[in-house]
Amino acid sequence: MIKSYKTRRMVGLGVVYAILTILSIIWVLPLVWIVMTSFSGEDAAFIDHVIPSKWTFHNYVQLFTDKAIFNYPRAFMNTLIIAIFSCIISTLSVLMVAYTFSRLRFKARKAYMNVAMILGMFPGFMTMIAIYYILKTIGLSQSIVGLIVVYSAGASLGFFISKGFFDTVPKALDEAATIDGATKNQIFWQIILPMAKPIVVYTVITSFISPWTDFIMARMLLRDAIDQYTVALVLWNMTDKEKVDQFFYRFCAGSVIVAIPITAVFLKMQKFYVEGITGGAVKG
Amino acid sequence: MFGKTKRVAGILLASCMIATAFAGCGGDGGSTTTSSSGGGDATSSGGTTDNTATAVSVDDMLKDADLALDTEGKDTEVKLKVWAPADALKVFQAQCDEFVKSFPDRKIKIEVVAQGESDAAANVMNDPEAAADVFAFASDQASNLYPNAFVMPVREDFAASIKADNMSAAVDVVTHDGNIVAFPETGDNGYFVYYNKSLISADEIKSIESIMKVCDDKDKQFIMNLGNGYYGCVIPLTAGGTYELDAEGYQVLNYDKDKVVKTAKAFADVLANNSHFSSADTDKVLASNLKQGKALAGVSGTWKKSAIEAALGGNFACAKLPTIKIDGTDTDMVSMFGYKIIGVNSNTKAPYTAQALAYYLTGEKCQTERMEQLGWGPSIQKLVDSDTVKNDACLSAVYAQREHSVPQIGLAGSFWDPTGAFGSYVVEKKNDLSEEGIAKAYDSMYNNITAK
Repeated sequence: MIKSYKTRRMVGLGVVYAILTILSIIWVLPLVWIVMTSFSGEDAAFIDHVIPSKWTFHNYVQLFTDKAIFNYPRAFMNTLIIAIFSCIISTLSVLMVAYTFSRLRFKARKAYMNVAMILGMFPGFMTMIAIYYILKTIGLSQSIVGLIVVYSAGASLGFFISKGFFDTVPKALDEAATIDGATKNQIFWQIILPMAKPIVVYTVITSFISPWTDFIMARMLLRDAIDQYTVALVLWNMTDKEKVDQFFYRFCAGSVIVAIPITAVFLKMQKFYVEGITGGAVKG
Repeated sequence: MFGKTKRVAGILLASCMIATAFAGCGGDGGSTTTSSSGGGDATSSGGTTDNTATAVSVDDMLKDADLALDTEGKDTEVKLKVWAPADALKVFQAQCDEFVKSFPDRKIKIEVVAQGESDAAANVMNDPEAAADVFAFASDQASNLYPNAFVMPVREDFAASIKADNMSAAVDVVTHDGNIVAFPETGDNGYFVYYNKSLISADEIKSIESIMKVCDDKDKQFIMNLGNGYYGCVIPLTAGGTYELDAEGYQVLNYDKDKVVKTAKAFADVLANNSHFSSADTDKVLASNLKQGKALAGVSGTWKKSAIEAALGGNFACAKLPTIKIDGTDTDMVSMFGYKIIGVNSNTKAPYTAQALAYYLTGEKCQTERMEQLGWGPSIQKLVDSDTVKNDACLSAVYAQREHSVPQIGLAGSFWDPTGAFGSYVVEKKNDLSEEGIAKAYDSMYNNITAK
């Protein structure tokens, strides 16, 4: 048994850091690999060394300039449009629904919440075929508008986390605002939302990422409408057995670029995460 | 679904009868057999489909189009969507434009959309109404498309010329219940050997024994993905096996167990103990390994041609599958051979024009253009025998292999995995590769495939 407290602490920390280092290497390696490969100037797609022998920026240039078979820039714009619109619509609807269930009292409130809970238990893609036929009937299949509808329509079912957050905001604030003559609408926009920044940020990030990375719905809905394709579909098509030798490095470059908007959204929003929740709201 | 098919079939039948009536070939009893207007005098010279005895000429198609006007409209615009692979898009669009030009009186608009042949059938089956009117698919998907009438039966006169012009196996893969239901597009969807001719000679590539010997001498790989049922079936097929579906759609295997086991033993003897044989996924690694000089040869199909040609450059060469010594005699390896087919969606709103287009696209002129511009192997016998095919390294290997092949039709979904498992069993050194051991693996494959 080691007597000295200092040595014991050092050994303990050493073990912990060793484990953490190993874990972080395992976790980061695939990312490092894909970034490295995306800059690779190798001739052959499948090679037996990890670090490329030649480096180039060519894969990225080609990804954006050679649009003959796969139009990556257009797919990128499509995905961006889909993600931005779905993000705005679903963030607003989630927060509004959450506010309603948290603050307003009405008949069947409990029943609605139970229904939402049960519906939420079914994975979204279970209703895929039904969604497809409904959208087809109203003429929205094979277009990005249809995808925006799909991603934002069901979003408000996920209001539970936001509702839980709103519940923690003191009711006294609402009452104070009501006494000052604010309507429910004003309370939502001017009192609750500014104080609920962390949950707003959380909702924005999640509702941006899910349409941005979705493959299943896009594949099912867009079918052969190539000019509407999203990044996920274009990347998937690049790995087709006839194309993979030619497009493998561009595929890697495309995968790296996918991460950029998510990272940007996250970095921009992240600072709100750390801000206090309702700190300083009730003064005096 | 069926209602619609019936309706379309009804329209077709009815118009056939009207055609007969208009043709005015009086006769007694008004027979319904004449649907092609035989000797239509030439008025147009647009489009130069060869006018062989049985082929339907462009003039015939024009007449037919007039007939179609009643249902598809002279003034209304006929819109057709065609599915073709992304890299062939331009060629198909040009051919479709050419087709439109041969009907100056009609408003036809054809849109060619990129859609890989490998999942065309799945997309048609998911939503036939959103699918293309005319689409290309590979023959292995035929067993899903034909019985459920996703494709429209081909008109009799077109069918007659398809039968007359195409290779017999290509006709077989478009035949369902005795009727022609689709149009053969290519006759090259099979696999063969790609090799680096600076490392191995055309003589040495002829038998698996000499290939492996060269591999040992030069320390290079030979790659064949026997663990995949598509390639693994070479073992039972080389042993003379065939397959078919029974009435309920279950797999029937006509394998001779003793022969298959003996053949498998021969494969095991040559390949299992040789470290230079690799059963890696050729779709992934073959082009890369040939390029890097790790492999000298490998088995893959026409879909890898451009990648491998780019990888090998001047050393690019192809050959049919090698022979293998079984009981002292060199036996040709027998492969599974697929065809590419063009089908007309039974949901199309313009069945006449769509059928005429499919017929045009699979005709001699278009097949020749695709052979010359894309290197696609034709299905029309006359073109298969042409010099273009003989002088093309890749195509001549394809058709040489076709002589030793079983058409890829009549296969149930249960076929692939067990066949692949058997293939990989045979080439794994660690397995029991005595005849008894292989027989056991054979039984498990057989039972898994034919299980009901």
